[in-house]
Amino acid sequence: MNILKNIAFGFSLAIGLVSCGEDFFESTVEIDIPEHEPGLAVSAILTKQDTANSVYISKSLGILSPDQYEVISDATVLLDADHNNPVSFIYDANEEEYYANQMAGFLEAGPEYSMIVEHPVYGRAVAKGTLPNAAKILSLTYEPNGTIDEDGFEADEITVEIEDPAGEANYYYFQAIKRIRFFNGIDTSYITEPLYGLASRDPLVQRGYNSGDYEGMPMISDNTFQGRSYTLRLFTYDEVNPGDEIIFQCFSVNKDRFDYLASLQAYYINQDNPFSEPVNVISNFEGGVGIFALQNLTEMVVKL
Amino acid sequence: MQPYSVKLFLNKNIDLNIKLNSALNLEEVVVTAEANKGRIEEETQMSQIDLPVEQIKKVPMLFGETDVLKTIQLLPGVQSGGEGQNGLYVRGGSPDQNLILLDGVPVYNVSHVLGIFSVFNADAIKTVTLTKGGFPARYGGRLSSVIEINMKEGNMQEFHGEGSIGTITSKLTLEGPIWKDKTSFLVSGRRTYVDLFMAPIISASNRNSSEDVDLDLYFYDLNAKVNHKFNDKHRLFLSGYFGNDVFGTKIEDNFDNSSFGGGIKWGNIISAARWNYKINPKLFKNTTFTYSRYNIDIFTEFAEKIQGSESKFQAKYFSGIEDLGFRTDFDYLPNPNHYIRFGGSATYHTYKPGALALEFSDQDFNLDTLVGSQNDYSTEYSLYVEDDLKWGDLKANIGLHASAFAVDDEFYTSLQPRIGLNYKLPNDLALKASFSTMTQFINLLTSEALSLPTDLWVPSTNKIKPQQSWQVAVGAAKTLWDEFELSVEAYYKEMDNVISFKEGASFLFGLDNEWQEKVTQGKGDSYGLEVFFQKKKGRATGWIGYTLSWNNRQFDDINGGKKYPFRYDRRHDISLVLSYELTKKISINGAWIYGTGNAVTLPVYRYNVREPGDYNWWNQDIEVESQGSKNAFRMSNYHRLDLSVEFLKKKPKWERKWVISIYNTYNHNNPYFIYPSTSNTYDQNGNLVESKRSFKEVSILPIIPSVSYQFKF
Repeated sequence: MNILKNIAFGFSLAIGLVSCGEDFFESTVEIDIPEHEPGLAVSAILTKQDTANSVYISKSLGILSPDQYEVISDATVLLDADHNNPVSFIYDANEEEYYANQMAGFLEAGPEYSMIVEHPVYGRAVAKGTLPNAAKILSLTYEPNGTIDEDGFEADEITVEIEDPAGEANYYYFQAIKRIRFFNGIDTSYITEPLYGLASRDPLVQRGYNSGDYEGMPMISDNTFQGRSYTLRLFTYDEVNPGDEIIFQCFSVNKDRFDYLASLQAYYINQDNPFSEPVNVISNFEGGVGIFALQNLTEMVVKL
Repeated sequence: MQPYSVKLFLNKNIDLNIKLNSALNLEEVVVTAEANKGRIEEETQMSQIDLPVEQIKKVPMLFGETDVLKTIQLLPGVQSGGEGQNGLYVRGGSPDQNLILLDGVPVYNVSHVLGIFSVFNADAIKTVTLTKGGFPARYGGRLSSVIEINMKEGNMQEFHGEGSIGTITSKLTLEGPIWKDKTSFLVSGRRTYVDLFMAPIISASNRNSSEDVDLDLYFYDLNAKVNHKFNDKHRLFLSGYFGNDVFGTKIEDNFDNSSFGGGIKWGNIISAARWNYKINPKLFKNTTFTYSRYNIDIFTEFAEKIQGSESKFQAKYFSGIEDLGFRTDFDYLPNPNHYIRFGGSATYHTYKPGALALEFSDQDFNLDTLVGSQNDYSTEYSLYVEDDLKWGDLKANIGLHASAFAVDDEFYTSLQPRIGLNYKLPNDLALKASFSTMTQFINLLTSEALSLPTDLWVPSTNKIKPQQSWQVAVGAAKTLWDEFELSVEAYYKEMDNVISFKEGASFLFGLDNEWQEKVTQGKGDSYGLEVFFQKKKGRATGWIGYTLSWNNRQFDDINGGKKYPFRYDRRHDISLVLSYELTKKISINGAWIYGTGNAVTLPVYRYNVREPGDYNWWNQDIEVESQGSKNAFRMSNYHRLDLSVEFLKKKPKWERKWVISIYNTYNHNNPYFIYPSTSNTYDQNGNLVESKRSFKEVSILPIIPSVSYQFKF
């Protein structure tokens, strides 16, 4: 009987003790996160046809670090192909980016390029990549109110036929720019701005990050049309008028860039969504983080 | 003793029942045995554990509520998902890869109260068997385990009952003859009553408020079975399970005539009709019709009245799965060296992968619409044959399982060879080996971001390929000193086409009806070593289980295509379960569990990226928080001690038991989830002085004592 009494006493004591807390069922403790040694964070997205390719370099910070981001201005930045006369990038304090002295004719499809960034404090970050062949745009049409979206609303349709280079895996993303025509009765002038909300009902189309469009931009891989032509149907709700011009852009990119854009878009639109799966933005730098990618651009213009 | 004679014509096999009269009263002898089971070294089957229900009932549990699945989690090779969770992760598999059968019917959701309790009421259960590998050919449809739970059949002789009154649940089980020696029944019900206790407390706390709060927080379940014996050759079993969880609240504000509510409901219906036919003494047949349904509803509603005009908004997200099945099994014993089983099954699945019903009305506008997924349908077929054969010191179970799956315009087929070997060495040491391949046609999409029963059952389609696995295991087994069983097994398993949400995907499919776009398929591998040392007899019973394991996943679309540890990759897992009968009236029980912390994804560093800004596209920096690699961070290690003491009093016609339990006896803060937190410090002018970020790990189940009163008659 004494055993029973002792157990009953202990039981009552246990109930009393656990009932004293502010929250009976929940307790919270702060946990240690592994220290992060700051390193180079590089955005090096170079387009063959761009005459002002630039590289942005900052440093990564520990997730709990109170420090602010700072641009790294004293790094050595080289773009090398087969260790042969690398192109060096020089820091421009106004733009806070590094610009190549001379890149004309340097980027060609085929060879492997290395982006090498070195810094006395943050070490050396290297990424490799190739420039894919450009796709050929075979045809382009723009039809106002030419289609309907998933919800049955009318939208302008852009139909583009591209020819995929044979013998390599290709990845593409698409943007469009509108040249809006202004005529004041005497002179005609144009302003250029992005064509917003470019989308597609094509099930092969994925979405990639685009700083000007929350929903992202259309992207496609050539898995299902390797080496052949493919007709892609896109639509937009943006306003265009007769006389305006649409510059359609098809960027050929490598897999790293394609995956990076997809992961960045997934990350961007889910930042505040507690129900979404965690997203890890792709990085292809060894010794640092960020993205190095070479792009080949094809454009076609259609006048409305 | 009186002589008895009967004339027989032995020209064929016949059954003869002889009723004996009692002539001598003997002292009571208690004989305990496990049906059809011999010593561990005699069994060809490896990677299989039978859990006696009496042992399950002794394991101390949360709120004193006996839990079959939580006891299974204490076995080597089986891991729990997390604190208080019922998910079973068997040899690196995920919960959907477990075929959990209640009287032969698949159970799709096994959890009550967000996983804290299982749907299986131990008072209604007769046997529990877990198979982790070396699957005999009669099993199919899942990659990682088979858990067979059979309900009691009801006593054909006498009326009996048992029940308990616990801290948060009470239950009652009745069984007995409807027609003595012919028909029996069993009914078992259980309900929680937290809501009943909370109602007056909430009402009192809102006495001075304009708000009325109505809380629903309960579950109930009911098991029922009828067993009818037509004659010595024919028996019929009808069994059913019905259970529901309701977890919601409604707040009515009398001041501004508004009301707000929301919650979640989920439940199972499981039923089976089984006809048992003894065709002849060597051939038996079981024919079973099954029906299983699992539904989940998440709902929210808001209503308000302004100047006589009422506006109302309701949203309901619902999903589920429904099965209609037929199965026939034959057991054929041509001679003592062969035990042949063969049979087949067909199951028609109906899936509701998630839809959203919206209703909005006010004086100007009315909306009543259903957004989201249509039902999906499929039919699953299987055929199998296996032979348990003996060949001197070598025993083998060799079989073949063939399955097929028809969905939309796709027809998948699969042939799955199975083999289990047992070679007995001197000194009663058995060496065992097995190889099995499995195919799974239905999938459970589980969100890592949520710990709610929002998981969705979806079929393989022409886009989503069936999951497949192969597993090889080798081991040794031996009974020591007639009381202890020791088994050591090493295994390696590869899985293909395992399914996962893509990065950034959310479980709410219904909004765009494109669940297949949000998932990806990849590979998994798992390997490890399991040690199981069990004592089944005597005053002290229990086991020690240890698992050393590695468990990985690889998806092209996740983690940059690199292999990463599965969330439930647990390097070390130890369980120690002990029951000791101090006296005839007092027993003490304990269970200690240790497990390496779960692998989770947490941001470790942050950096800026910048996209080029040609053609007036904005040149904008984006801050990226990076994990480095998926599931690279480990939560704290898990360990816990549960204790209970039982006080038993036996009377000639009834017995009662007081059980006092303490869950998490040394009050260890076990990890449940981690969340980021920011604390800001402001000066007296309201200016931000300091912002400090941190990550916090939440524990939800501290030391919890409980008491229950159990009775049996």
